Amino acid sequence: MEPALEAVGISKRYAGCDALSGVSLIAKPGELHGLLGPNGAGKTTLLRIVLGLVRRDAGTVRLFGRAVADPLGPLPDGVAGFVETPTFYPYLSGRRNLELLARLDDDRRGQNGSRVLDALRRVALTEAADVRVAAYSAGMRQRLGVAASLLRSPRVLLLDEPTSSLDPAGAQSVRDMVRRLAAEGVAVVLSSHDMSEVEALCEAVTIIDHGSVVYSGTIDGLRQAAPAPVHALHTSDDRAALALAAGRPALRAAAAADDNGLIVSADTGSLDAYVLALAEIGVAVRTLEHRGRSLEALFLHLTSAVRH
Amino acid sequence: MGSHIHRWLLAAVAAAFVASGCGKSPITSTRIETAVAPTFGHLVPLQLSRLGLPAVPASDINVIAACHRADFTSGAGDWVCTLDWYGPNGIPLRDTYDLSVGTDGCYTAAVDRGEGHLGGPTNVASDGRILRNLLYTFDGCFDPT
Amino acid sequence: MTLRAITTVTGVECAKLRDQLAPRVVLAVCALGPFAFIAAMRLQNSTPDDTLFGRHVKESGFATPLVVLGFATLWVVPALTAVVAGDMFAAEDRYGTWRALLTRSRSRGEIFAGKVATAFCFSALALAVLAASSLVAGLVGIGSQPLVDLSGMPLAPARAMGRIAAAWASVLPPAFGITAVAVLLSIVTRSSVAGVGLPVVAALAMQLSVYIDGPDAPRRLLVTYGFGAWHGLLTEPPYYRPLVYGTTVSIAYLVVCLAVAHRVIVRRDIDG
Repeated sequence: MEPALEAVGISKRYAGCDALSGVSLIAKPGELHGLLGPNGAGKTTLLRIVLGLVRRDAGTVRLFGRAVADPLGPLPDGVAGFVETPTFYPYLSGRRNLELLARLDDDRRGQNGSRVLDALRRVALTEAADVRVAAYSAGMRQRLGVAASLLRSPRVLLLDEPTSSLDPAGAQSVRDMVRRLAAEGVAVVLSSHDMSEVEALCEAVTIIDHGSVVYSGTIDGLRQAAPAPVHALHTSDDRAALALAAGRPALRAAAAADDNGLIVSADTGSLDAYVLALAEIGVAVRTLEHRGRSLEALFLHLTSAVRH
Repeated sequence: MGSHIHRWLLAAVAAAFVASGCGKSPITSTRIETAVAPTFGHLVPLQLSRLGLPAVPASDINVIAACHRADFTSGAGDWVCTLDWYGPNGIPLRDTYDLSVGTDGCYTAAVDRGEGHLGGPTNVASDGRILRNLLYTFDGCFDPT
Repeated sequence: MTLRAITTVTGVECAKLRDQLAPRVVLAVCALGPFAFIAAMRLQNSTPDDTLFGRHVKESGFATPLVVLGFATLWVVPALTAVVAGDMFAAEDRYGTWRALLTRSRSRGEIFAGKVATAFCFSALALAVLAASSLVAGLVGIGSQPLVDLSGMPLAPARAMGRIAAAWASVLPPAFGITAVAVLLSIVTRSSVAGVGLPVVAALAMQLSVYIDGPDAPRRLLVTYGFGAWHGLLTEPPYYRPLVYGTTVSIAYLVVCLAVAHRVIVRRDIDG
């Protein structure tokens, strides 16, 4: 099946710093593709390039098999999305914003009303439709951004952290909608820094860090690619433990998500040596649990690998 | 691209300076005289008709203007114009105006207080109304290019 | 880039303007200002003698639109023509909405053209409202007595109206020149304050330079030069050289500013 989106070898340099180096992302129709990376990895830059907001220094972008010639040109039909928080004109209502944006897609003035209503309904903003966007919460703005993308009847949808400002119920409804769209054949690229969300939702993932791809493939493949078992470690002095780990190349360690100890990835021999070294510097090990190959830990492993 | 535009602009301004004759103003006594004389010549019959006085045809008025300024021979600023003309009944009259001429070719002419036969800021019409004297102070413009 | 696409963008931009306060306030001031001026004239004894036709303002209603024109070209016309143009592009930076606008089916060139067309339409509309309102205020408040032109000749109402229309029309090229400068500043500075304020300040400074004596040629390079060209339409015989020079210079400003502005926006990386 021909890919819906093929971004190959994308590079972008900003003022002496490589925001992206040779990044490729290929999404098939009906695929839910996660674009994953820590903050500042270059996810948003990649999306900006595909959406025609920022010029690429190198690489090609093909949509539905056709090369996109003008990097800063209008968005081809069937492609939609947003980067960062969706923005709108605060002095206009949500409905009015959508009507005007719809007019820029195809000028059937006055006939876009039903499409706008439908998009608002799908993101559950019908009641707030005539309120000025200045009064919208961040979550409402995000839903309106999704609605603005849906207006284009996209076959490729690029969403930049679409659930970041939403409460759990809102986030769930966005996930459900995205699943439905994928089932209808839409290629959805979702960027996120949250591995667990991507794991729950996507079947393919591209992980980037510091502007380079560190993994590209299926979620299942990622699970099998883990090179070393992962452990949860609690010590009497986590900071000193992290510092010690930084000097040991055979071992990857990072602080766990909620400041709850460390995640350590190492083979058995290196782990044993590390525990002994901790005792030598006076740091006691309180718990050491094998965590298997959870993807969150894998993600940490992969992205901290680039820094080393 | 920036430095290109810089050089073009500088060249254009320099050329403009050279082409303009570098300092000699187009505001000359001839141009002022050619503007003030006919304007005065049109205002006289107009004022006479407003006042209800017997008309004097414009061709009979025959204004000749002579304008000079104290310090220079051209340019915007304060000028003095002497107007020699023929009033009602063919009487030769002379009036002096103080002109303030702007760089845009527009001037304001105010009658020199010393004369008197044009009247003051207002005139009394034949029916007793008080009307503004169009000849006391008047404006006009000429081509300054 | 098709005409239809540009018309669509213009329609969208005009729709946005209708919901903003500033354009509506500006048009209201244009419509009501001259009436306030005439009301003040009727209440006081003196006339604005420092403006052309100011002496005549109580004697003929046709003098009012010319007095307003003379006064307005100092800084009001630049303000009217910059208030929408200077904000047009900078507002998208202020609201962060470039990324909403540019992820639709219209190219950057079409969006640029539509916004520029809207800015120019507003400038023309504001001037037309100000001109019409001054004429009506004069006729209603003073009357339709003959107007004495700059060569001392009285003009009958029909001729006076024709000259007044021509005078206001002659101000469009320099006004559009300033609109183009405001568009360029709006794009380059990304600030509405600079986009609106700088053209007004610059135009005022240029207009005040009229009071500095010197050669005429550098004066002709100023975009505001054409603001005085209407004087030649109200003399007998009329003279047109300032109008020709002024229009040519204004067109040059327009072409250069819009060309640079277009190039900047079409190549810009939208990082915000």
